[in-house]
Amino acid sequence: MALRITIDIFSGRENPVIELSENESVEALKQLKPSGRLDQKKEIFPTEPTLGYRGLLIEQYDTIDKDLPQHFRYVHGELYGKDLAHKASGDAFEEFVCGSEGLIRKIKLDKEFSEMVLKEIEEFKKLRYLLDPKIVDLLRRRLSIYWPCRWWWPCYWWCCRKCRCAPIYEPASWNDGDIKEWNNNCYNYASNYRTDTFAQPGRASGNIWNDLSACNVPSANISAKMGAISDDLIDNPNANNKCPSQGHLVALVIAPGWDYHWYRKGRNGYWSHKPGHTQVTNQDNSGNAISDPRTANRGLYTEFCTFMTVMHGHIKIK
Amino acid sequence: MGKCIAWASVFSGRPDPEWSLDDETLGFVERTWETLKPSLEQQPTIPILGYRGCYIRCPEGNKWFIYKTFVKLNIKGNVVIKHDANMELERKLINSAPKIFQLPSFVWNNIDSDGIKE
Repeated sequence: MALRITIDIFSGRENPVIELSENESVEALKQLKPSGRLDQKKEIFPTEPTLGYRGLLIEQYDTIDKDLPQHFRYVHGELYGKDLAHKASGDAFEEFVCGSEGLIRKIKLDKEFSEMVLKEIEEFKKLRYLLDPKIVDLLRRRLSIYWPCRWWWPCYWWCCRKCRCAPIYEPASWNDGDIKEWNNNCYNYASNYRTDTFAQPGRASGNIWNDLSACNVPSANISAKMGAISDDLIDNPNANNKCPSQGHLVALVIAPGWDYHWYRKGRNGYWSHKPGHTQVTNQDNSGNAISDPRTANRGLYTEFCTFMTVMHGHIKIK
Repeated sequence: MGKCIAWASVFSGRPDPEWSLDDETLGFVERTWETLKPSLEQQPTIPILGYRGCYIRCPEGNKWFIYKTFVKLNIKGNVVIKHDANMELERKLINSAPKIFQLPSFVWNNIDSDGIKE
């Protein structure tokens, strides 16, 4: 009977691994024995990826204890694995492994590593409290109505979970000062779809726009909105600036008679855009961040047309 | 040697209007450029949406950028900035666009706002 324990803490470098002797494994398994089942809402280990300590990954090899799966995770006195969502018999197993007198001494890392891990274990405990579905639901209901997302808001990322499918604002990946920047326009950027063709709504589906006089045009003509719909963007006029549960939100505006323009809503809840050949920006014509394209300074694009949803992998533009 | 190409940076979704410069306009641009005084002014703030200036790109590598009084010539990496107090270059260039491009009224308005439209 033997155990291998991986301290799941790093992101770039390999996680530290501790090989236990048979005696150590026996002692460890006593503490890891499953006791009562966890509360139903805690049965799933937090799915939000976090940086820093994320638990101890335990692997049994040689002989397997039948009460536990071959691989499982221990976090704060709880066990997670295949058919496993239980409290552990010992609630100080992390101290047993990572404490200054713990098994962590078996691996040759800096002296401070044990202290850092213990601190991280406590930090993760606080983070898990915030990730608790009950707390998330409560806070979201109480606060998200009134508070805009701010980077400094400690609960920022779960407040914005509704936009978790939205693309991240990464202007540098478009602003290359070269082919990508020059040959992709607002439609490319909003749909997060690089074609290097200065894509036009409807061109991929053989239904390219021919009337930019307004958002809605006579039935014999094709508007930018109709072109986009034929490219499989989904008209979502009642989105009211809220991210869809799947895909991401874009907004179409019209400079009547001249042009159209697209914005996209990012994961942080704010909007960004790429005006023609120019660089991607998150500012409007007044230099302000764009929380809602309906109220942003849009210059000559005076007609707000509609919100639309881009389902990733389901659209085709050219 | 091909023709120089001019375009107005103005649209977002549809392609910007682009046209070949006729010899008369190019000659005017080159002659006027020689008469302008060098300037140390910074590039002015340009609107994010809407008219963002005119460009000329010539086969030998010369590239002009013109926005109101700010004129920049880039000759193979050597940049010279000059001040066109009367915005003659911008006006001439926009006037040279073939009618087929139907440059929008707001391009004209941009120049109108300074009261110098022809």
